[in-house]
Amino acid sequence: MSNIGKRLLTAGAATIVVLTLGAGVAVAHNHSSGFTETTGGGCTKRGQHNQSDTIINATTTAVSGCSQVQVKVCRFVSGTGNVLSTHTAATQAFKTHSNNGGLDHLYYSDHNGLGSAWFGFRLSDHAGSC
Amino acid sequence: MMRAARRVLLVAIFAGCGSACANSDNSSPELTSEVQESPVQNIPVSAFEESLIADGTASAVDLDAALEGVVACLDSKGYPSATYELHLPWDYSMDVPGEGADAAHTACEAEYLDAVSALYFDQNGPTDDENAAANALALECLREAGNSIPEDMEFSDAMFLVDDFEFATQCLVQAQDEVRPPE
Repeated sequence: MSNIGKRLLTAGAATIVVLTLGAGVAVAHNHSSGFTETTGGGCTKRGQHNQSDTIINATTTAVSGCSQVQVKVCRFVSGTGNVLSTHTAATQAFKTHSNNGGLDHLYYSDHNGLGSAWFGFRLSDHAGSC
Repeated sequence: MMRAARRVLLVAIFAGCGSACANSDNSSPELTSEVQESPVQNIPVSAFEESLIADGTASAVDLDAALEGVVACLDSKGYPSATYELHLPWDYSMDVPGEGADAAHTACEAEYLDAVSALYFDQNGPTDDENAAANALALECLREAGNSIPEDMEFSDAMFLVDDFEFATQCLVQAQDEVRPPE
């Protein structure tokens, strides 16, 4: 099971990204009102999440040996256009306590189906050590 | 030594040993040295990054300087509105408005940030124990607010049970800051 989950919740009600770890728990969630995301040192965007999620489950390899994990999201913000958002954290902060030693699952939800959303992640020791 | 650095033990090479070794007293090869496997050994280190981590360490100041380098780099590539926020030693985030920002961002991170960031988290990131402590505190925060959270549930699952997700995330950040005060 995971010991931490993080979301990048985006402005303009465009996308929501759920990064969670561990046992492949299907994340289905609904928020009926707007919110301010403050997790993760700076995701202070306003967002709204009020539709059913479509979950895309991307399974990674274990990140044992990696010191950090980064999630990158391209999202559409009304009035601004596309914004590339990245969130980088110590691996420990994403790490399951014993399950493969690292990141197991990423959940991405483009809840309003804009189709402009793009989601990617990388292991930041990406240049070979992972 | 780097706290989380992996180590590779190297079997000693008995230089100059010759046939005398074969006749020695059944001794096994000795472990005479160990070499650390750097978290950045497979990441190209630019001159800029080298200037920050030449001493083998990456501090929060170094990481901040690296991120400033990324911002300046993005500006030079036509993305003048990049911003970032730090929540160290746990994490940081960056926003880059503009079409096609990903390629520029990737290039700028490679030039200014990747090696510094990897080394920073390797040396300064929370330990497993700290992370577990933060999650325990965050769960406590949720329960104290009246949320019914099963005893064996992890925070990452519990946060999805809470209607007020903003509050849940605040619990987590506060817990992290309590376990390891912000740098």
